[in-house]
Amino acid sequence: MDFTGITPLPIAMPPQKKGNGKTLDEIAAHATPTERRLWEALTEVMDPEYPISVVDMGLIYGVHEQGGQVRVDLTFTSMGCPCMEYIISDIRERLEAESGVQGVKIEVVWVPAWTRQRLTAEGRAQLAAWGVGTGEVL
Amino acid sequence: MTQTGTSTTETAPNAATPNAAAKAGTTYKYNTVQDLPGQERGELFQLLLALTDTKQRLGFQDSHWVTGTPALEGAVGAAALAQDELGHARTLYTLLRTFPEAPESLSEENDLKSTRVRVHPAALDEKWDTWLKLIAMSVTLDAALQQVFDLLKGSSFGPLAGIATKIAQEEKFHRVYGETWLTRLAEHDDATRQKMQKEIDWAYPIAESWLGHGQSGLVAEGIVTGQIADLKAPWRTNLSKVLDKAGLKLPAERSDWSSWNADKREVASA
Repeated sequence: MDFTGITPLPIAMPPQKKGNGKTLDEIAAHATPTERRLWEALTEVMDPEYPISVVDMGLIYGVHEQGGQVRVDLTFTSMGCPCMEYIISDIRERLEAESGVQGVKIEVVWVPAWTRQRLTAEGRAQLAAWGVGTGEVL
Repeated sequence: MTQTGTSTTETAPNAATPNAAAKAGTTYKYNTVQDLPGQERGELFQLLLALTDTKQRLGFQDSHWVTGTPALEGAVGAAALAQDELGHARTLYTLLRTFPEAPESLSEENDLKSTRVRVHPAALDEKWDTWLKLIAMSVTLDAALQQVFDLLKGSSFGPLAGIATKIAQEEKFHRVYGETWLTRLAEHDDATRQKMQKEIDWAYPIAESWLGHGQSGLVAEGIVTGQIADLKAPWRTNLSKVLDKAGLKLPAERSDWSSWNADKREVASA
């Protein structure tokens, strides 16, 4: 996504680290069709500090739906994150816009603790394109 | 934290629900505050309140030096330390509010402006007169608290284990800040080293007293995985190495614990 009107230059991705860079298909492999739709909706919720989604940032640990009731397991990169309220509000607002969603419950989880290993393949590519390091050793 | 549905009820963002904070796939003896036995629950509440109040005050103290260090790098580091400590306190207060023992003044809306008497060492109350105190506290008290969180990571109380794991992860960077600046300052010149030694001598008994004295019933239930008082020996060993490297002296161990205040985790002044 382009936030500034400047198209990032294409650059070569660093070699993939073991266990790093999952795709949405892998993350949502066991999701029901409804849950898959909710995962995709969450890819439109952007991290307030980086130009990537909360899914690509690896903040979403789980999306569960039953009878219109949705539970999202959410983590943050740090406990001192100043954007918690924004992120929670944005997630709720986006999911409540989905058809069939009657309620959204968000649970914050701290284990496993977030690391850069949680970035998706798409997230790593986007951060790399913007010159943000993702920890790989070149 | 639980935020439910489309209701207008908003809770703190990190009001972790017990099961949510626990490690996925791990079975805990106690999954919620309500599961905890009453006596141990009260003791845990008091310990966590002291831990949380201490962290909050450390965060405030760190924040005073965001514009007050002699080097920009030190200021940026102080800002990061403050953000971490306040973030840890925010999450721990949220857990504390789920305890039946929590007073009304601990509520999210009331806490900062309340007159609740904080339970932390008195040395954290007044603004420190020098940034060297921040460095000294970092390698003594902050290091001691890091060891406490290492004990809590394996807690049989799931919500606490999850929070402690994340805090322990973030505290690693605090150690780098404190130890790096300690060495750099001590090597600067004799006058600075003497000032640094003075602040170490000030901070040492505060940190040692926080680790405290006596035995806790929380260990038998696995809520804390070891006696906090028993951390003094390894803490002192680690500190000795850090001070040696900087050419500083390790203060003497406390022998008289008769005036130790378990609530504030300090030795009362004579």
